[in-house]
Amino acid sequence: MDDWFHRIVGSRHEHAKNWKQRTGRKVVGYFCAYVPEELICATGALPVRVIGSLRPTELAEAHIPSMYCSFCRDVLAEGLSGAYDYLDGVVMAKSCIHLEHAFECWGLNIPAAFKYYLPMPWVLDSPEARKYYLAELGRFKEKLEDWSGKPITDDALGQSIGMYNRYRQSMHRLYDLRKTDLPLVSGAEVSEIVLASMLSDKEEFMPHLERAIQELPSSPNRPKAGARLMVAGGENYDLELFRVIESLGANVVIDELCMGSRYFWTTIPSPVKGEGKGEGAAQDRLEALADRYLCRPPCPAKATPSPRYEHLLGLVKDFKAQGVLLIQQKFCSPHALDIPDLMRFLKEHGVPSYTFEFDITLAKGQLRTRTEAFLEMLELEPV
Amino acid sequence: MTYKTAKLENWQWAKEIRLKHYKKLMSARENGTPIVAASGHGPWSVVAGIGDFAALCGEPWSGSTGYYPDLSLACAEAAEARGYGRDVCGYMKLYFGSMFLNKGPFGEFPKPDLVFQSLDCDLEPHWYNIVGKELNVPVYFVEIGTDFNHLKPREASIQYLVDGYLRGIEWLEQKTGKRYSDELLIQAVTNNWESRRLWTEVCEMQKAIPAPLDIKSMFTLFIPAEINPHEAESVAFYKALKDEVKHRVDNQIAAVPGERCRIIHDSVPPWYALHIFRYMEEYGVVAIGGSYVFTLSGSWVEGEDGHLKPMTSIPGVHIPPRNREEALRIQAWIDMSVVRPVSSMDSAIFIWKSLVKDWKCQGAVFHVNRGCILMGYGMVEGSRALRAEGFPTMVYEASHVDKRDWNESDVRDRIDSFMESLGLKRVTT
Repeated sequence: MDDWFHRIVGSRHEHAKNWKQRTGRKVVGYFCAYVPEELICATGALPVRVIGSLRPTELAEAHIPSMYCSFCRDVLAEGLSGAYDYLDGVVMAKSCIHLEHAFECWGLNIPAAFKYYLPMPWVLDSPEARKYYLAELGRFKEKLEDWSGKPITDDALGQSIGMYNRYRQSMHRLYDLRKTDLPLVSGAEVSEIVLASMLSDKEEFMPHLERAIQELPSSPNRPKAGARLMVAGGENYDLELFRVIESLGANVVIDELCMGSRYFWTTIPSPVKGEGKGEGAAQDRLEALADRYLCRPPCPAKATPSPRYEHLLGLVKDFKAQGVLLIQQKFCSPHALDIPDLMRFLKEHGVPSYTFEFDITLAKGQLRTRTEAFLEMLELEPV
Repeated sequence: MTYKTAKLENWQWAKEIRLKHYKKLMSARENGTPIVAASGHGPWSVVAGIGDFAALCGEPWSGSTGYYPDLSLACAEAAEARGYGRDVCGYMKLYFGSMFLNKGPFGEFPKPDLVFQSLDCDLEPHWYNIVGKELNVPVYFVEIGTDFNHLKPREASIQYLVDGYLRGIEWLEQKTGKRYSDELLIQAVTNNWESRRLWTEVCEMQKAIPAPLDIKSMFTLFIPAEINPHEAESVAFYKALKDEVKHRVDNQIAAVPGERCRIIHDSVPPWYALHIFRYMEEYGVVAIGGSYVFTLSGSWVEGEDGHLKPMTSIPGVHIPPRNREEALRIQAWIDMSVVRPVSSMDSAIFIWKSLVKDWKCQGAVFHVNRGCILMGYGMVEGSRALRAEGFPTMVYEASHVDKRDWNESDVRDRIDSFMESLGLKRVTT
């Protein structure tokens, strides 16, 4: 596979710093996949997802109570370490209280020229939520314009939306490579590509993605026959998780993860509403953005769980997954509360599932043992 | 120096209001009274427009459950057996256990007819969606928690809440088959405003030395404004309480006769271990309150002088309200004021600093509550901020309702060390 993705993921800070130096433009860290990157991108800045380093988080311990999730601690520790000192701004969209806590601690302890909190409804399907969110998007746009010192033109926003749509459509094509009886690409490879896409300029990313879609099916390291699994849950950027699972002979054929399919799944409807011209075009574009972020597969921090379950089941069927491994960051309460009900839902639909709780550092031995147990439950011996 | 003390004359009234509340709830089914479920600080004033109803207040129900160790353990284990782990909201877990086992502190679990919930925590959608699914009852949500700085709520967020309530009223009419009364809404909101205003004034009087109340008593006294804020009896109770507390202040009647040091305590306390406050009193320490007990039933603003002040008016709104829109606007402001201390770290730290300084305290005790992440929001940063200004703080970890997380000797050791850092020795043993 194109080494580019691996390099981005392995040296994301250096990559962002180089990009900043090379382009003379700004870099904005975003804390949650509900941040509408299209607007940041339309200012000319590079939005990058803020993640941790998967190392012990003692720097964060003096700021975050012990019952907050491991992801928010890892994120804050990375910020406190100075690794993100090149960021020109940070943005958070309301999601879970854990990540909000990390964002606020960041604001208190790490200087940032631009810090913005975007109110994002928990209730996604009410008329007043849409009206409210649409107005908040307009306010966010204005704040970005103030910060960047130039207006976000209709053309710039239209182009940004168009680029993200093309990105999302191509990512669907990449994911489709695992729909075949014998997947044409591994889950670990796909996950690395998704992660790289969150850490790089989409314009620069796209040629690599297109090449990967062309070349991966003919790679000599194509996956071998094995149990077809879905991995579902919250934030995961430890690619070892997929490597360990797939080393046991299983294939991760689909995911339902914050840093996986949920990140890009919903494309703004085609014909792209936000690409129109003339009177009303600006409002059209914001409405298109609002609809995309309100209608994308919901995160468990949102108040409408049923669409997530139905979407997840649809993915299981489309990708012919035989079972679902539900992963949960330690102390992640939205997922901890979703999992029991989700497991019952999957069971009712004849889909076996199994849970795995993980911390900042991955307990590989435990993951291996539990995955083996799950595979046995599926009556499939590890290959 | 020893101050005089006296029993609170209105203590029993607070208990009776609570008892009456639960008697009504537990007999609602046989009396044909609809049962509505929501959080303790739920939008009861809005529900009141449908006429008589019984409120199943989530957190208070679980708090009462948590008072009984055997029952709370059985409920926690029942919830855990269904997959809800030890690290989810403690109140929610006991509520689920009570629902699954069909038993609670006052008898069977009172199955609600509907859920009408104002969301201020990201776990509440799960809580009430699960209730709705388990009991097959309809659920309606409005959102409080979308704004960032609740000390300065924005018009857009207030209007979002008002819009949600306006649609919610139609939903209530549809689900209950009852005609909604704006007259009842206006009366309920007026009572709510008054209950909270009076409680806020009581808290304000805690600035007096000696403190007229201690936090352990306040945990009982603030309950009517939590579960029945919309009822006339709560207003009458708080009027009487305010008069009594004023009398105590005027006559230097202390909650703790040996008061020589004042602290705040925050987060929900471990309900099964309230004796820790009596233990601190042995050092001459009175806990005068905290953001939990002050703001859950009170409404505050940041005054122009930069101090924490009772909220006495709402911009552009006539109090008492004259119509549905005004009433809902007041309710929205009240909702926002409830979550102020926990929805923005800046406002939480501002409140903690204000309480310590303006209420003349020497330190702060923080309960890092494993059973409630919301109330722990910003607590470590708050502790750091206070220490940076020279105020000693103590942090202990436990759970408000799960006694399995309680370590008595560890907490006592911490208190002893904290008292030593304050230069205090036990005056009674």
